[in-house]
Amino acid sequence: MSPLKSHPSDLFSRPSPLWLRSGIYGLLALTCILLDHHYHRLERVHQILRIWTLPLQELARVPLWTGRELGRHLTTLERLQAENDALRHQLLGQAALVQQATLLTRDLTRLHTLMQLGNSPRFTGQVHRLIGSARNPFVQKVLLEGGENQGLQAGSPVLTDQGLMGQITRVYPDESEVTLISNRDLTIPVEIERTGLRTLAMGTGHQGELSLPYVPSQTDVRVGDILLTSGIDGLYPRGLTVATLTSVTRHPSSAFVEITARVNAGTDTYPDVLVMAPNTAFQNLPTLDNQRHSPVHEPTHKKP
Amino acid sequence: MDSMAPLPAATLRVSPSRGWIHASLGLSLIFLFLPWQGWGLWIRPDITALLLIYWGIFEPAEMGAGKAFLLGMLSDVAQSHVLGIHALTYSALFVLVQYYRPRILSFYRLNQMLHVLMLLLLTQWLEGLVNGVLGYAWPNWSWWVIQPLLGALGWPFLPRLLERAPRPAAPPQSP
Repeated sequence: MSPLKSHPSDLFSRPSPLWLRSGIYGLLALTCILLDHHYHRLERVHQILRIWTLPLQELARVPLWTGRELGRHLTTLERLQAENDALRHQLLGQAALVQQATLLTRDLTRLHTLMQLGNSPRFTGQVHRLIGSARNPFVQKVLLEGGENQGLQAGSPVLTDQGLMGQITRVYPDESEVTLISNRDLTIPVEIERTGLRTLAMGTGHQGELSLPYVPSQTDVRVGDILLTSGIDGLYPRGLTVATLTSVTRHPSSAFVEITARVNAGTDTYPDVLVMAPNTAFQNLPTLDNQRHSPVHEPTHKKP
Repeated sequence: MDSMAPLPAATLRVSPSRGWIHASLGLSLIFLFLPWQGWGLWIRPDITALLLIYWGIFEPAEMGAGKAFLLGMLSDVAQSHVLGIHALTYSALFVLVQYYRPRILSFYRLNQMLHVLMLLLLTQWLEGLVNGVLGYAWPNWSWWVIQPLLGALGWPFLPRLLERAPRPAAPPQSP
């Protein structure tokens, strides 16, 4: 046997570049997943890549934008007038409520001062436009026009006229990412409007669906009950509509009721949302153990 | 690996320029950025993966593992998802494409389509598994099948869309 045949690999011995390079990139990708998902250390990379994709994103908006502008030009006068009338009627209907609310707030402030409770926090908001939802069915997020340059901050609650929609979790220079309350990472302290029972509502990861895992089986809950924020966490102001119960199942073997609820605020119906200023009192609370707490990285709340 | 396979489809074609390849990949990302919502999200085919397969087979010198990785990262950012998921699946896809390249090149277009379907299915399932491991909600059954199926159906149209000149040595369609 010739020496060549006995050691055929010696002649061309080199590592397979395909498997080696792909293996390295695969490992790099796994590292990215780990760092981003568990340790939230890749915010800067997110920002940089986002800026790279910005031109593509703008180009993708051209057809939508053209359609919208065309639609605006073609709107008839009658339709505008009808819409205007409807809005005016709605405004009149709400005027009485608003006046009443002003009165109530004044009374409440006076009572608070009398009882030396300190001022109840005032919440202010600004209107922003939705760009679109995250392009992945696993992710319950939407994108918002306006970001760091417009003074938006992570941790701000986001509302529609139907109720609480979510929370800003990542801020880019000119846009922000809103995590919807149906996202698995979010937990909201709620109270049932009819009974005042306080509990937690958790995102299920399915579009517009919440679950209430910690309601004891003897509790009075019914399908159709409305959930409001209880304000216990100090992040969401009290009394925002969150969801309506859609199913209540009692298992004889379980100590808890199985409850699912449907989120009231839809993302597809209204292009404009209200972003409330984050409650600063919440940030001054002493943190549990010595973990660095930043609202950017932790959309979940401490359980009350 | 390249030299021994019969290359009926790739021997006599005019290579497109690097700029055109990059532009087509950019267009696939723009397709991702279109305002998908609701059901659209579940059936949107992964054009980027499809192009990755196409250029990986016909222009292997232009498509490297690094480009696949970078495309994956951009795709992740575009989808506001955890960074690295698509980088991982596209890197895996790149390996599979390079491994099956001679085999795929030896087939006619419709048989190629079946191979492409298999590659897209594997990519999709890897993505689903990674999402499952990370604790995201399990998607409904259609997600596992429909996107790769629609993607693979686009395969026969790619040469017409992406090639500069009609391929002189284009194989006849199998009956």
